[in-house]
Amino acid sequence: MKLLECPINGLRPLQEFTYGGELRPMPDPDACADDAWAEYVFNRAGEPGVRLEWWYHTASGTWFIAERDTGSDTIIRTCLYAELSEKEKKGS
Amino acid sequence: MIIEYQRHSPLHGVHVANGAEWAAHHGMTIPASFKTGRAADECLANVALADVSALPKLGVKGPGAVAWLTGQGVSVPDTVYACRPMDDGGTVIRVDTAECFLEDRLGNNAVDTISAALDSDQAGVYRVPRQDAGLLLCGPKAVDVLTQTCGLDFRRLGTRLVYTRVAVVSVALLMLPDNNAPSYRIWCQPSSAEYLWETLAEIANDIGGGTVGLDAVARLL
Amino acid sequence: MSDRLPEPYGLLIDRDRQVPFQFDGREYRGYDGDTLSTALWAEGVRVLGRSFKYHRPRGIFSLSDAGLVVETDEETNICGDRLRITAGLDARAANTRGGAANDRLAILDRFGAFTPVGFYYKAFHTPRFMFPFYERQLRNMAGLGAVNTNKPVRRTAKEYAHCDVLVIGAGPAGLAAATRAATLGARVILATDQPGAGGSLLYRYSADAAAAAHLSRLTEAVQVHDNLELRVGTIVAGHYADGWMALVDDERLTKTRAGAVIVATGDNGLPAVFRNNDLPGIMLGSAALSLIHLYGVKPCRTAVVLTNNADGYRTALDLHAAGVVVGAIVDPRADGETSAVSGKVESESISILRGKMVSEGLPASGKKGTVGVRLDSGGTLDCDGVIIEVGTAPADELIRQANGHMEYDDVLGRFVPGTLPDGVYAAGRVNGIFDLEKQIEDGVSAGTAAAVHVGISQQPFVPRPKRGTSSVAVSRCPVVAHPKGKNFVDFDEDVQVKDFVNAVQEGFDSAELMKRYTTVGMGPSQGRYSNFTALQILADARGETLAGKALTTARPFVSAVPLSHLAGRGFTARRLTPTHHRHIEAGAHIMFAGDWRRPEYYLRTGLERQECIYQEAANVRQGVGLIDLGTLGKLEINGADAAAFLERVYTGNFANLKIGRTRYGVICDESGVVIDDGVICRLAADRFYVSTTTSGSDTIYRTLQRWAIQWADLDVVLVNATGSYGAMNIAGPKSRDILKALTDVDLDPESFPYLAVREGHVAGVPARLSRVGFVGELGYEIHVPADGSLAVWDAVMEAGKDAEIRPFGVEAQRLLRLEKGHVIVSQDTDGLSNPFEAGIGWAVKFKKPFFIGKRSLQILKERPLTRTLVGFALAPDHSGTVPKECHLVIDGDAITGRVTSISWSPALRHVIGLAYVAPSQSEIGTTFSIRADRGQMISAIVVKTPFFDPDGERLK
Repeated sequence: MKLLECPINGLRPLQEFTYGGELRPMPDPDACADDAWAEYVFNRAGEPGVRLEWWYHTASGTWFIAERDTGSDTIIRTCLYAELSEKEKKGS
Repeated sequence: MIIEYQRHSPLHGVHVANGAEWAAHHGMTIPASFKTGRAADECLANVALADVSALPKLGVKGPGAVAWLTGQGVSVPDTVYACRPMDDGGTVIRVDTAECFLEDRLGNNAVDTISAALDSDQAGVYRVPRQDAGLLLCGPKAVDVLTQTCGLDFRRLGTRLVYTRVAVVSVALLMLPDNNAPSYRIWCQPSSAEYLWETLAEIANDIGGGTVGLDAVARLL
Repeated sequence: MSDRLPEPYGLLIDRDRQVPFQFDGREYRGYDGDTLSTALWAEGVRVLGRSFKYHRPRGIFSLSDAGLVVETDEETNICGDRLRITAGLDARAANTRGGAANDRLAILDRFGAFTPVGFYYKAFHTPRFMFPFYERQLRNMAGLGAVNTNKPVRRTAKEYAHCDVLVIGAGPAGLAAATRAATLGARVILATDQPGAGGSLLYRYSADAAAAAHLSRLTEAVQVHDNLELRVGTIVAGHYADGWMALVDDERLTKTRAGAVIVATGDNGLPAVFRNNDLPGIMLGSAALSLIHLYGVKPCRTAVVLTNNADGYRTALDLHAAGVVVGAIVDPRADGETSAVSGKVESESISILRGKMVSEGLPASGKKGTVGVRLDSGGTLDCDGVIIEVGTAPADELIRQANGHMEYDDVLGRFVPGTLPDGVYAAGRVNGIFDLEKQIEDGVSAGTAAAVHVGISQQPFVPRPKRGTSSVAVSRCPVVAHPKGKNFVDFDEDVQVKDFVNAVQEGFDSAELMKRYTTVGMGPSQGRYSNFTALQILADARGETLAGKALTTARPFVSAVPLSHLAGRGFTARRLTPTHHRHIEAGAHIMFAGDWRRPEYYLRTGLERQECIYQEAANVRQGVGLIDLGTLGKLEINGADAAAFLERVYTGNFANLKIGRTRYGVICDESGVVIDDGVICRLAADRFYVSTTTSGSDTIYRTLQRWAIQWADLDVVLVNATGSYGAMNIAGPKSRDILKALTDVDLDPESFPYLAVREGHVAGVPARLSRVGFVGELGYEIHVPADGSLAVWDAVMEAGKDAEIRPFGVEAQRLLRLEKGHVIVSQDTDGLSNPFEAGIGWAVKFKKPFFIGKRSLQILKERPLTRTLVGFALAPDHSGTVPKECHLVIDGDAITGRVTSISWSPALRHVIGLAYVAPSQSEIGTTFSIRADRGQMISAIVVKTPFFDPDGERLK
């Protein structure tokens, strides 16, 4: 059972967490083209790589971000959403 | 908010079935002892599980919560998950930067007093309805019940509140250090209480302990 | 007990305690400490079981062999080599007809030539209708034990444990590593599958005084450390991510989290491959030495030792010392052993046959034992045992499970650990270190490295000893081909040399393919004794060497683990509302709603389920009913921007919701699919109380939390109050009169109209009352603190006694709301339903800057619908089959939709329902067809909803 470091609750087994999907910043819904919106809504990146992901520590109700290499399944870092850089929040 | 109604523990139905001898605490009828099952002394010598849901609780949340509580004379811990005894009895636990959880001692009314002062038009300060089931697990084998149900490393557990899973139920868990053997407080959603109680009681029973009434554990409260 | 040796042989047995037991229905006696195999062997029993496929007699081979399988009345597939005998044990050999000694299925051995690997797949698939018959027959003949489905349920506890360093194997390297790490202050668990610590020190170094000194020093050191826990009889069965290790003993599975893992599992002897190499009496040297030293049992009377290394010569000396006549040492190497031990053997007058190989075991009658061996040079030797010491393979399963890399070492002629993951170490023989002193040195080094890895110690790096040459087989033992075969490589699965040859010929010529074709290594021993030989045969067949070759993937478990251990104590959480026990007392039939338990309906004596539901519904329409809504999700959304937050989450408008009013709300996901609905109550400018569906109670809170984090511009405080409040709905024309007596809230319809919310008390309990219309009657939802719910429920039921109030369940509520045409999200919607097709487009307000799913809904709104949810009715005089939920709507050849809700309506006296249909079928009055059970086509007509009380007169 893998361990995951919650920024608030510390290192815990994966069972204590709920996966929340990749952090996928929303394009401006009023400005973007239909294609860009459809891409955001329906398409997910499946290829292995380093991703920012949402994770939820269920018992304490804590959402946080894990930077994970989905190829090697290694966690690079975890932090609260608020601690992300503006660039990371915007996905650029 | 002074409570003027007959409170029931979320475990009331189980207690009825298990032959409880009742006592009233803080407006709740709660088992003082059990007519059936292992003798309380024997349980305490191994592991004893008690329902302490009667203790008054209060949650306060919001950007103004800590300042408001401080204004009420509550000395709020500085760090998240730290616990501190209150001057007037009871315990205050900081469960988030902007949220505190207060629980009173048995027979004390400090939390009720603070609760009564929390009116609803206080901007930035909101009451969190705390209806948690409160359990107490004590005795030298208490930790054995937990190692069968929870993946935490209990030998490394500090005196801070821990949110974890016990028997797949989300709980808040607090170790109460003791010279002999630590006791553990467990809070969970009332909806999960009966399942958690039955699970822990079954394991406690398997290893020589069982459930006890409030009388047997009053010294810890 | 004819074959027992005197003390001091028999370290593990207590000769003062005889243990009676039964095997295959016969009485035997052993000593406390014996395993089933050793006790039987001491009693002269040679046939302990039958092989998997050919039902050949098998005896002791490795003494830690999962291939020897027995069963009792209660347990199946027990490893006889490990099963410690207890008084009254009644064991049977698995997979036999009539016991191990006289298994009637032994006939299968004669047909071996016709049943090579893959034969079954090729032969028994036609004709197809016969396959079930074949399958049944084959499953009965091949395979392991039968499962006794009547066995008593034994709850096995699972436990968690934690340590800094887990050391696996308590031989010289493991003991040294564990005591070293403990000395440095680490919390250590030392696990061994043996009954005690010592490993090979207990049996392999009997002539070595230094070994005895190490043994006593190390086992004492284990006792000294409080922070070192020795777990005997414990198999470390699996390595999982981040040091999660599965420890299995007789009692339980212990899920152990280790900061560092030291694998000191040693190695396993390899079988020599010649014809009839599986006869009882032919065994590994380690098994023979264990029998002698640990159990005080003679492995045989007269032995031939087949070896190509110094260990074999030492084993011959040990056998000789124990009184076994060593007929000869057969050494395939032309020069034989050149070290000093060779001289010692000769001085004991044991003959050494150099440059020779055993080509065939000579079977006793029925192959129930060994009477001799044939040599490749042609002669035969009489013996009742052949002791095999022809090399070993590292016990590296856990290393490979941990993604450690094993690489072939040409000098040692075996696989050794290459790159290991962080925190995983190998020590001792598994690491390719054989010299005893060096094994201990290796353990100390690994123990230090592990303690440093977990941050307990800053000790400088202790250099790992260099691998030297192997004392166990540098040169290979030849694999002897035989025209008649029965030269086994894998004893678990009866895989012979020719099976590998066939595999290569058919193109299954890589290690992984060959494994799957031949099933080598798939038996209970998981290839411990066969994988290496199999790889060698493959390399030979392809004319390659093993350099650069990889072993097949190792997966948990290393050996058999009882399913009851894995199941453990089941933890299946259930959630109950505060009034749950009242429902039980009232005869509720309980249904599952996710983790929740809810009353489906209340059973009334003498009535069928359906009739109970109809009566409950009718009672609400005509009188008054009470339903427990405690399972609804309940959220408090507070803060200066709470209204703005709701505007972004829900599709509707909430900024303009007046204090004291409620409004229905729909939540969509970003693709515009309806995911939840509920009622939003405004209690104050900055306080909202929101209900969600039962199934959405946790997920919606979670989702809203995440949005709140991302919308940092909003001042909003979320509280999940689902469990904290009980809720119930008193509904029916008489509800107001009953409630009036219990509450301080003014229930006058002028001051408390439909869709209003009020705070006050009910039966003295602080309560939020709201007037909702889900079931289509005058009614009040009462939300109260969980600890007051029981008091309120009882008070309402008591107050309603004269009005004949009755509780109603989920089914009655579903029926009542269907009569009103209200949708239930996730029953009348699915994972693709948008609000427009689900008939709740009216709840979508586009004139706001943003809400979740707005953009998608804007796009969808412009497009033609592909389906529409409509109300329908069957003809009032319809009799016969009534369609069910999920039955399809058929238009010609096309499926145009499906029924989502359907019921006979007690209020309307005919069948009504909701269904998705094609937009072209959605006009009121359109007739469409539903395909019901057995293909019957039922005609339905689209009708207007609400079906009942369309103007909502009853809600006022």
